Amino acid sequence: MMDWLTLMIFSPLIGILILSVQSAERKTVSLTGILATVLPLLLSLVVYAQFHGGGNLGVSHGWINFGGGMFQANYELGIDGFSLLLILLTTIVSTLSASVAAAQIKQGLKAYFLWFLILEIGMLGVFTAENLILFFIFFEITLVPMFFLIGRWGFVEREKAAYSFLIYNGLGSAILLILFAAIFAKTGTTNIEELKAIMASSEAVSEEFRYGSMLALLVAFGVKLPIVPLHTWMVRVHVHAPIAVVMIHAGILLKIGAYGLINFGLGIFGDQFAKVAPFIAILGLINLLYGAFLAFVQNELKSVFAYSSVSHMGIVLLGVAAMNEAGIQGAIFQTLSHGLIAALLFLLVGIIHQRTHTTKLSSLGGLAKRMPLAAGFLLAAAMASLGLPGMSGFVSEFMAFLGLFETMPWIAAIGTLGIIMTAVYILRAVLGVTYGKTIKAFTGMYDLTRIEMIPAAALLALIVLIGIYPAIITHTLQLTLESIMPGIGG
Amino acid sequence: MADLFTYQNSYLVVVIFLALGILLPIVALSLGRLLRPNKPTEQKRTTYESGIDPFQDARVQFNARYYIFALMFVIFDVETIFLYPWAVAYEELGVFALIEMLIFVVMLLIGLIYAWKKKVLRWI
Amino acid sequence: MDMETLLSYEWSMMAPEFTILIIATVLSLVDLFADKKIDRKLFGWFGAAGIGIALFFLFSQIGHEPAMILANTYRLDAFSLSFKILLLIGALLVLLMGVSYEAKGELLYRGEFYYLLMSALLGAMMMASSADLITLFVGLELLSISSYILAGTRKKSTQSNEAAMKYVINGGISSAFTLFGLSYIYGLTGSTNLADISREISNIAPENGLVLLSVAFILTFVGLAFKISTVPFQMWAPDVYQGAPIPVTVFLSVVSKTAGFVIILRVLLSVFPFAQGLEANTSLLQSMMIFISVLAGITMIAGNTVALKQRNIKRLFAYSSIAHAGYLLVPFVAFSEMMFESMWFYLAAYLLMNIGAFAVIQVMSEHSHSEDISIFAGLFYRRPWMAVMMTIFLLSLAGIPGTAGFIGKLNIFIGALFSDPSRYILAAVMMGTTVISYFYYFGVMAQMFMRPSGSAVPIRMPVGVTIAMVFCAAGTITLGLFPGVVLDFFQTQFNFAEMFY
Repeated sequence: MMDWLTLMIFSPLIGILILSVQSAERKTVSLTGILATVLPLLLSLVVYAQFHGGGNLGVSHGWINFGGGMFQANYELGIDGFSLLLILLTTIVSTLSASVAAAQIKQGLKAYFLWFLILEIGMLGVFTAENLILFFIFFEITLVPMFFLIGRWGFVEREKAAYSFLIYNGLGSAILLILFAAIFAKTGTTNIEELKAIMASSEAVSEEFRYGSMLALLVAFGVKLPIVPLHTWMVRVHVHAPIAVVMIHAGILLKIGAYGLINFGLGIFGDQFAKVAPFIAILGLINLLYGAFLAFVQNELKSVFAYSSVSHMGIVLLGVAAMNEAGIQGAIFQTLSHGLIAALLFLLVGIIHQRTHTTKLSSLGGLAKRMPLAAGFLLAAAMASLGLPGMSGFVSEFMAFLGLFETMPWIAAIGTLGIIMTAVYILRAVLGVTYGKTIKAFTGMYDLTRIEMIPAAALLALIVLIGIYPAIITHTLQLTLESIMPGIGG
Repeated sequence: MADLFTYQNSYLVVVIFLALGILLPIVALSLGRLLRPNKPTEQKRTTYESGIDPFQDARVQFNARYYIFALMFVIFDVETIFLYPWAVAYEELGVFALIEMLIFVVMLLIGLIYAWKKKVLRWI
Repeated sequence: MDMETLLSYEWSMMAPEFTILIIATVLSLVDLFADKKIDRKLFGWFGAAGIGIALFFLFSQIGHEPAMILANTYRLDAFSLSFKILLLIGALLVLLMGVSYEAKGELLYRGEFYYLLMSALLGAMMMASSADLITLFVGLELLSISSYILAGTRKKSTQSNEAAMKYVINGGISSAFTLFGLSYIYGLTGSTNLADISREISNIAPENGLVLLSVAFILTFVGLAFKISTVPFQMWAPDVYQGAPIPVTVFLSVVSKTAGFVIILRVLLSVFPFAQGLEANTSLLQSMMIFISVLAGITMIAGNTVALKQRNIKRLFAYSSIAHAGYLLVPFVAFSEMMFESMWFYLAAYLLMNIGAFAVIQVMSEHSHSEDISIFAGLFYRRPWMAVMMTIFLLSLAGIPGTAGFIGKLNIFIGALFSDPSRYILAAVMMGTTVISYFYYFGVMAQMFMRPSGSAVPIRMPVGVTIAMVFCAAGTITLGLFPGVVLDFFQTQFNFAEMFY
């Protein structure tokens, strides 16, 4: 039997090897770079087919043995519906981001792709690991390349952004590592399935420890998600990182937070999670409203979308806090859909910035005349973002709130305010950019090229597809939900 | 606690000696100051009432080679100290002690050779 | 002692020490008589071969029954074997770096460097193997005195002279502390033999000896803290590391530090677990752990925060080395079943990553005649492979997964949280300071990848230092991805229960 998961995770290594011996000539490098991301994309499709064909994809090998057999950490991979979808999201957005990078990264493209491919290994590994130690290893592997991608190829305050990324996420993963080591020390295993069984039955783990772990998870993944008091680094990264990296960051890396919260928080510590659910709902509400409000007062396109990400991640929290099937499904939908929408939005922002050299709202306007296609895509993405029916954003928000109204109607009622605010700030920013009056005559402006059309169209197609035919996702998700729901007694 | 007190008590003697040692000069000097008459004059304040005022730096530098010679001396000094009791008790100690002493002398010999090759034995 | 007992000893147990002793003696004599024109670098290769032979003897001893010779002063057991492997490999790599050390007009007496290194190594090995306070101390002093001279081998450099002077004075003070503590132990038990002490000490009634033993513990530990450069004796490290030639700096930060941990483990674990502690049914060691844990915490915080301000790469690594000593005290404080494994593995990882990093530093600082962080600017675009290796070392020092440093830290964490009571606070301090350390480790990486390079002069990479670098990089990655290779060897070959009598 082929070990497709290992093959998929480490397939970017081939690209790394070829790139490191290849000449630094721009054309060959960008071609290899893009092809190197296509390979995991193809493999992830194979994995998708295998998963639905009922093939057993799980892998388990003995790996590390601490303390003479007392603590055994294995190399264990496996996927469920949720992680499979995130893997597909990763490979798709990575390929698109690589093509954007090939067009927009001015210098040091080879080094860029080397770091980028390492990042992809990390991201794929995070969603595939079935073992906490392995999960952590991949989780940290994403940290280092991101630091360099932001710090080397970003905009003006790139190094400051890189360091703030490093320290916030470093602290988050530090908490995570202590937690995982503590779980390892207390239970003797780090296998996620085994842990679920232990937490469900055994009395060996004290209630305080469970609550402590729950809170640690909330903080650790809260940095990644981000949950509001911990979000400043993320806005900085969105504004100062290169666009191709922001696509990855907003599209995938933030989703690791949601994935961790749902998979570990809900999956392993379900009972404790249920107890703090109202608290999480309030956090989600704060995220939603605070993000929306700040997005409204920004005067720069990238900041608007950065705060919009904060706001949308609030919906994930609300959906999770609902603790019922609709809510969690909504949260997962929102995770995926926001991944696609954010990638598309930042792709377009990148293109606009490339043509106009600015993202200031005050100096942009009337793009619809000069760049009709770009403006059209931007508008469509914006509509998806504010939850227009027929787009993926609508499905996710609808389901999350549906779930929440069942369990916490008051919070849901206040939350709907956030949706209105979303419409307001998105329309203010996007309509101003597309239809407002032409403020400055930019020279050399041209519309989307055919190469640029491909990623934009692909993303939009996916967004619409999920919007009008959500079953394509629910079909894959079904299995996951069944495994999470018993954990919370739902 | 009894042992501890015995242990500490044996240091009490040391403490008493220390205290006496510090007190003695202080008491002697301050008593003298109280008892003696004090009538300073210009003449009395000079360094030497009769004699020549010092005209050089009080610090005198020795040639650094003296130190190295002193060190060399210590090597053989120690050797003698060890050799003497060994020679006296040679009958009882036997062959093993002979071997041990040979090892010791060879070590010192290497030290001497080192000093010789590093030109320690030559003046200037 | 007569001839028969002497001949009945199994002298082959000391084969590694004898090898090093002979090499050191021969090198010192040859250096005196050989012609001035003969390249003294040959000595380095000769010494490396000698260490290779010693390593061979050492590996053939693995699995040997614990045994003692020389009136129970020399002990061969799993503890001494496992740590001597680290000492020898560390010294071998330092020697390889030393062969390539070319800084202009710095090593005037190159021959001396090699045999002093050997005698220092001999002292360290004796420390690992001795079972008597006297031999322990003699080993400690042999290591220390050789290191004092080594620190001053850049004769024309005022910094180096200052370093040697500071090292001697601080070392003298700390030796006095240790000796004072040991003398209390001797006074209370009437023996210098560790086996006798461990038997005697449990007979001491707590109302008599508790205060004195606690004082002895604190004095001994504080004195030995000098060798591992933890608070309160850490302040020599930055100055000495900066002043000494780079191979010596590495020796001090790796081999000498390992030897320091060896002697701490040997003395403290042979004596204090058997003494009655402050509360009933606890040992004195357990009662004193709070003291060590506070020192470890301060060490980690001090090392990592002060390192943030450093511009001189050697000083930066000195503070980093202080911080790592703090990390290494965590498993000792936790005192779980995994203590030896955690410490040994972390020391092995630290050996690889620190020597590797210093190998790169040596090449770069010789190339640019400077020790400022900026010498790394744009390294990736000039010597990509060297930059990649340096990145591996730095990531490992920072404890990023995929490298030996991460597995080491994870091992320490599991041990610290598994122990009873769990050391949550200490683990949290360790983790928090690790995140602080990201700042300066990534700062060096930022230089390599994000800054333009100043000059385009090709960087020369001599053989010896390149071998050391590649070996360390390969080792760091191997231990990071497949730690089983070493952990299994360690778990199956070394039974640490042998350490106790």
